[in-house]
Amino acid sequence: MYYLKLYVKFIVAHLQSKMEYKFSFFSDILVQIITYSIHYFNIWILLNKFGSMQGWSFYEIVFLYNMNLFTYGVSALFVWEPMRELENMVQEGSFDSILTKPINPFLHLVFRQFRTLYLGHTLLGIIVFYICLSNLPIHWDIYKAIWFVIVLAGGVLIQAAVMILGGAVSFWIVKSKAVIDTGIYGLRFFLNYPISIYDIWVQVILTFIIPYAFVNFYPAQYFLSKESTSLFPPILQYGTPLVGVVLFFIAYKIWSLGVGKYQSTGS
Amino acid sequence: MRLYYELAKNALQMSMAYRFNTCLQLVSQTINMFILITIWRALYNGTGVTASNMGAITLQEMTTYSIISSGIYIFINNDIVITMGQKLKTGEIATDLIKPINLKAALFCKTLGEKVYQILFQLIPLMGMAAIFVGIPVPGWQTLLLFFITLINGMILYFSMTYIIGLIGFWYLSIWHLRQFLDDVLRLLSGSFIPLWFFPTALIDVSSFLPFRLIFFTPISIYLEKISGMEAGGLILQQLLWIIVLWVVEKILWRKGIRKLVIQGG
Repeated sequence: MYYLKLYVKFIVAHLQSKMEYKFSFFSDILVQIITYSIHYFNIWILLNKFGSMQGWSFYEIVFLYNMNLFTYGVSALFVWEPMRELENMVQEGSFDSILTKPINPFLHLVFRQFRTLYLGHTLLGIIVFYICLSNLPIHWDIYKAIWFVIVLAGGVLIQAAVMILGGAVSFWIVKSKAVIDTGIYGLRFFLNYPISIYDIWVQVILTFIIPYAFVNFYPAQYFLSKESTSLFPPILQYGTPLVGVVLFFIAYKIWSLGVGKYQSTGS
Repeated sequence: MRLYYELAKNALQMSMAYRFNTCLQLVSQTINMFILITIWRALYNGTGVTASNMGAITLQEMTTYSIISSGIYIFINNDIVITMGQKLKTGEIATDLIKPINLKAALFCKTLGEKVYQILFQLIPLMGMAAIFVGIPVPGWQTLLLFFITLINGMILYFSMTYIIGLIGFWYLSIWHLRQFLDDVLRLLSGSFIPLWFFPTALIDVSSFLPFRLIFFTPISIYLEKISGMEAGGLILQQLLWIIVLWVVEKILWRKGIRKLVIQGG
């Protein structure tokens, strides 16, 4: 509870400083909305020409894509910037100042900032969900709706865990930004389309090694009542929250190990 | 001349220092190319050919299209916007004005130096992998000649576009917004992802008034021999015309920007 109060204070202060530059605040967000709207438009051009992608219709693919975008946006609001900054902080030694504060260094790092630009992803994500859900024949009841929210939360945890792992890399490797770019942007592109279109080894990697597929593909299979692909059991469709919690926990542990290493070398 | 050669050499050596980044970028580029190819395979869904507003297009052709497009991306991309942004932010632009070199020429040489490195360590490995694992059909030498002419013109066009965005930095500091917007427009209208022959008619009309398709779509469709020699000549002419138009825009922006800089004292 104490931490929550603290966080609200941090965010309010941060937003106030951002609102000093209103134009840049809104244009940052607008640019993100334009970028992803064009991604959706590209999908429309493709599906307008070809009708469907291995049985997935336009709205189904957009729904899938949007689960990735929305969860990415939400988790990036909180953890993208601190993890991104870690490389410089470790190199310059300014990470020391984080360790001297009487608060968990991870929380402090996350609390210090809030990447407002990702409000664009989040906002567009909500709008697109609304459009998709009014065009898709999904039969909603209260349990399904609650499950949808839980799945999204699980997705946010998975996305955050990958970002945290990327940040933790900077405790061991100097050039961590490039690793994050490959890890987050490179592999995340796989999620934009149903992973069943890829070769089997890609599906195995995205399911068991970097379980990105739980962010959108498996839950989307459930909500869109898709036949599950023969190789993987349909139980995976329910795995997102568990995978999210476990992955986040592992990421946090590795990150803490990194902090321990940083302290012991004193570099 | 010697000075500009040194600038290019310097940029090449600077790139060498970032070998690790280059490797990782190559990984991303390979993944992207692979995803592109798979998307087309999934869309064709077992059929080897589809109709379009430029005749039948085979899956084989779309695979080659994606490979060449990934290659062109490496060939044309540059970091002019970031460099210009930093120059304007830190005020380094003032010292550039004192130097006895043309800023645009210096930036172009720097890009060329980086290109040599990227061609050796990204373009050639990527195309090599594509040739081994997927196969790249190679057209006759006349077609290849036209392809390389349009490719180089496209690179100059893209350089001018990024340079213009850099110049807008005199007035608008967050130029990365415009850079991202340029990337968006390219992704939509240049044919880097979806060739224009799959576009709805209205979108083809829009893109034919704009220079973006001349960067990706034109060279690739020449490579795939979808365009006759005569048409190719017309497109090269359009490219040259747009190069001149953008050059004029640059001149105007440069003059006004410098005046603003001098008046305000940077």
